[in-house]
Amino acid sequence: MAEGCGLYIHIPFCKTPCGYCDFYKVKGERIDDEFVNLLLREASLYREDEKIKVVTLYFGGGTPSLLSPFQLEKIFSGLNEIFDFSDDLESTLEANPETLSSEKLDDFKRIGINRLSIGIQSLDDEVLKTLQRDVQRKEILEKLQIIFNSEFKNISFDLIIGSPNSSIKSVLKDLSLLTNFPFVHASLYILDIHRGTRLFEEIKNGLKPTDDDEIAEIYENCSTFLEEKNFIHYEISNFARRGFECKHNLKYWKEEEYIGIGPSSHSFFRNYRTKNPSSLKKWKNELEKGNFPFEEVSKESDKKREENKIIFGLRLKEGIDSDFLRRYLEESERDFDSLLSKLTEGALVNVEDKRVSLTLKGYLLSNEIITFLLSRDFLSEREFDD
Amino acid sequence: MDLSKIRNFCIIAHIDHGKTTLSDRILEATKAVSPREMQEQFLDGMDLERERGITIKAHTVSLRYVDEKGDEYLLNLIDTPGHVDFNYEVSRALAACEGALLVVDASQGVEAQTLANAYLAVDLGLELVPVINKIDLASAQPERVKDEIENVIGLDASDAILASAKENIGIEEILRAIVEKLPPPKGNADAPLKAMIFDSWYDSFRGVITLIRIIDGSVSVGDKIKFLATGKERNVEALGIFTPSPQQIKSLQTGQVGFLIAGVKDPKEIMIGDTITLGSNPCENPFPGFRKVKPMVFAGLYPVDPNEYPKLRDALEKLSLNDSSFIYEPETSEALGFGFRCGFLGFLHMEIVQERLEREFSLDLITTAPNVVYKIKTNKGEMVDIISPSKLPEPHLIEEFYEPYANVTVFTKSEFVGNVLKLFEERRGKQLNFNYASKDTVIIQYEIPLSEIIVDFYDKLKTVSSGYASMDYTIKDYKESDLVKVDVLVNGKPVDALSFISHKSQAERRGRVAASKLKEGIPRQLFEVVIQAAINSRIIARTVVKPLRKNVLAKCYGGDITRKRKLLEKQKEGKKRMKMVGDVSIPQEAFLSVLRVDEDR
Ligand SMILES: Nc1nc2c(ncn2[C@@H]2O[C@H](COP(=O)(O)OP(=O)(O)OP(=O)(O)O)[C@@H](O)[C@H]2O)c(=O)[nH]1
Ligand code: SF4
Ligand SMILES: [Mg+2]
Repeated sequence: MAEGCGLYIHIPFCKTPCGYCDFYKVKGERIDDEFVNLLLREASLYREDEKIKVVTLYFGGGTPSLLSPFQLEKIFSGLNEIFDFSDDLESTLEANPETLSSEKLDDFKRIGINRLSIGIQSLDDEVLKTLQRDVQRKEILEKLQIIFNSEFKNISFDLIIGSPNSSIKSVLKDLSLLTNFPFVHASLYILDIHRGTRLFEEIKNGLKPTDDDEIAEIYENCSTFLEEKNFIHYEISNFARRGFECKHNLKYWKEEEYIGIGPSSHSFFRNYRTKNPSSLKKWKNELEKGNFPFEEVSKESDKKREENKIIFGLRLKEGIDSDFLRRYLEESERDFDSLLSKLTEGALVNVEDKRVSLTLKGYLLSNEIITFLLSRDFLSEREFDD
Repeated sequence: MDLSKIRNFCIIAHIDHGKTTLSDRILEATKAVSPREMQEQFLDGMDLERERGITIKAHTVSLRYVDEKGDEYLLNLIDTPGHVDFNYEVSRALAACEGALLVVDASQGVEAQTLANAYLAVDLGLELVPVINKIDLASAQPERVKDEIENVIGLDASDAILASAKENIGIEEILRAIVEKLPPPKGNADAPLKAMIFDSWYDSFRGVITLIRIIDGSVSVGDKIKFLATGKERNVEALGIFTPSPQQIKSLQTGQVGFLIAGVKDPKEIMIGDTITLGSNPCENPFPGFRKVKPMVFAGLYPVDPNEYPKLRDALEKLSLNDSSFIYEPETSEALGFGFRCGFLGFLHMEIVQERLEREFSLDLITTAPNVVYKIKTNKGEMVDIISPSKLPEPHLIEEFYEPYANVTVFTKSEFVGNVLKLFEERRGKQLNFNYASKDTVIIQYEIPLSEIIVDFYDKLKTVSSGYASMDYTIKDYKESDLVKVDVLVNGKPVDALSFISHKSQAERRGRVAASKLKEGIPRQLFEVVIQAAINSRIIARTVVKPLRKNVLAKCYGGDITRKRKLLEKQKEGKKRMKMVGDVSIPQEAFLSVLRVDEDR
């Protein structure tokens, strides 16, 4: 396991919530200082004599770029005092382009942020409108100029694929424009339509969703496109220039420790998984009583830990150790081989150098493949049939 | 209790003519149920009955009724189901009674089961009181209905009671008629105990509970009784009546109907129709038992989870106490593992048995497409019953192939005659009779292969007649027929549980439809699924379920890995409701879908 822990700070405020979003956030343009104090109060619960070593810091949201430089500085230096920040700390801030200015960017950089994750989602006004994202292509492009004129070098963008009213063409057009900028990282998220969002309602009322086969097509095309531009498809939804993989997000996939701070954040710390309430009020109440604000706590059993290693390890290009998988499945070499060969024949899985990983086609079917592998108890019924 | 103050009666009718609603009114009029406890169709106690709005089981209730003269009577009312498939319930209930209310819908008039059930009652020597129900309806035509009762059934309808169970009209008159027109039980109170079992069920605390009718003598708690069929002797632990809530009493007297508990834990010890007597003082002529039912429709029943085979076996044993009209025997399928081949009285009966097993015993089951019992003469000259298509020998070993025929009687309004005839003609029917029951009611009789009517004929008949036509059928005989087996292959392997037998003239079309139905029914999955239909190894249809392209959770945000795990758990649960055949997951319903051919006619 890598030395040191990840630290995630959730900033649950957005100016105008997007139509597809089901993260915990509240509408708000200004963040009050009380919230900032509460974050530090929660963080201080982790204060220890020998400070916890932190190697990655991630401000997510919501819209963390709504924080004023003054607030961000307060949080950053507060955290720096509670935790032991490593010298090569990766410190990311998620930002929506419309909230940025060159002054703000300079301040963020000075405070200690060294990586930006820009929520672009689309450069097509029709799609932006469909996603009910309150920004337009023109403004995004202007802001990108400003961003790349700043001192930030490690910059990522988020793009949504599979939105209604989008097509292979529109997404590839966005990608080729974006890759003209010196981004070193990209996240391509397939749109999930969640119950309770405005987009869900619109689809119920007749907006045509993009069908799965087309989404698969778009996804595969985008991956090919980005790999041609020297991005490595290192995780189901993530691409990076060599050496620019997001260290923080890798912690999630690799069963490494991270501490989440702020409402609705999650932690995996000293073998416990915890979840904070998705409610500012509940979160605040517990903190004011001096408690950890967890709403759920569970100890990770060895079995679960191994299972997670498979579930999440298979999201990564590097995949998982094949001996480990075989032992977990309690299969004989022969059965294991025939099981894998089924998947390799379908071009869903690669087996190379004792590692099992998903192919591009396999990434798209990762849920199916994982249930196929882990539901051996159903499959063992095959004894009857063969 | 004085025998002359007891009346045992059934309520019989065609389906939906208002038997259970009429029972509601009788329960209220005799104050058996307080207004607070009352709910519509009170006696339809099973969830399934409420959901479907039909009676499935006969329900018994004992009531106190005081007439105008102040005389007190004990009335045992048995509400019966109207659907043909539950006919056996009616015949057993009738055997416990001396009379019946024959309920006829004032607007629908006499229908197929009105006639069938009336004949059943008359054959058993029961006295009938005709009740014309639903006279509140604007379309009510009581005079026409009276004519039909007289012409079609041959029953004097001049004193038929005009009633509305909905509007509470005629209820007092009905109660009076029960007391005045229906005979009291006969029976000899001084003779040795003779009781017959006409229903039973399993209670996890008390074991088997039987519903009995005392023919002679009496029985008390503590008596040592003997079940004649098995010769087993048991002590009576409890006796009681339903009022409608169960109420324990010390003894049951001649002529009474009630329940008996004798500590029987093994369902197989009890036989419906058996006689109970006293071990020390046995009766002379036991009750002759009920006619044996002959299941018409067979299907395989398998647990989705093969580990639940023993649970299914116990469940069948217990359920058959309460429903003695289905039979089962063990069967194995290459595709489905261990299960049972079960015989039912009809398609609805099959659905109900499956649902009851799933609900009352929390099982997940697969039912294969139903078939009738075929007969073959082998090349060695043996006659063999074929209850499962997968057990059919190779074609060259079959000398002659027979299928059962039924005589179907349909009652319909004359305006729908054209549609009804067309339906029969499409299904290889041959007309036997055509009569007018009244000016606008026609009775049509056809001879038709049973296999043509078991799955969806009834639904079709309802559709083509806007709900007006009704049907009844009796099995006639076997006829030689040009039949073939249609195999269904999944990824190149024949799946025994999906094969079916069809008339040659229809086999190709049905094979094609089966393949396309399966294609619709099997979800896209990791690998391509090829479905083929074949007759004698000749492929006649091929469809493909394309492999799935996308099932991925794109975002695991902020370390929220629980969302992903929950999704996978759900997916796993979904898979549990499917059966793995080879590497293909086939949903439960898909096994039945192969016979849903008609939509594509
Ligand atoms: N208008 C009117 N509707 C009635 C009357 N009696 C019953 N119904 C309705 O007819 C339908 C069937 O009533 P049930 O009492 O369930 O009929 P049933 O004969 O017990 O039906 P099965 O047990 O399934 O054979 C219900 O919707 C009742 O509300 C009546 O007197 N008038
Ligand atoms: S997508 Fe991002 S910016 Fe839009 S509402 Fe959700 S958290 Fe806020
Ligand atoms: Mg009823």
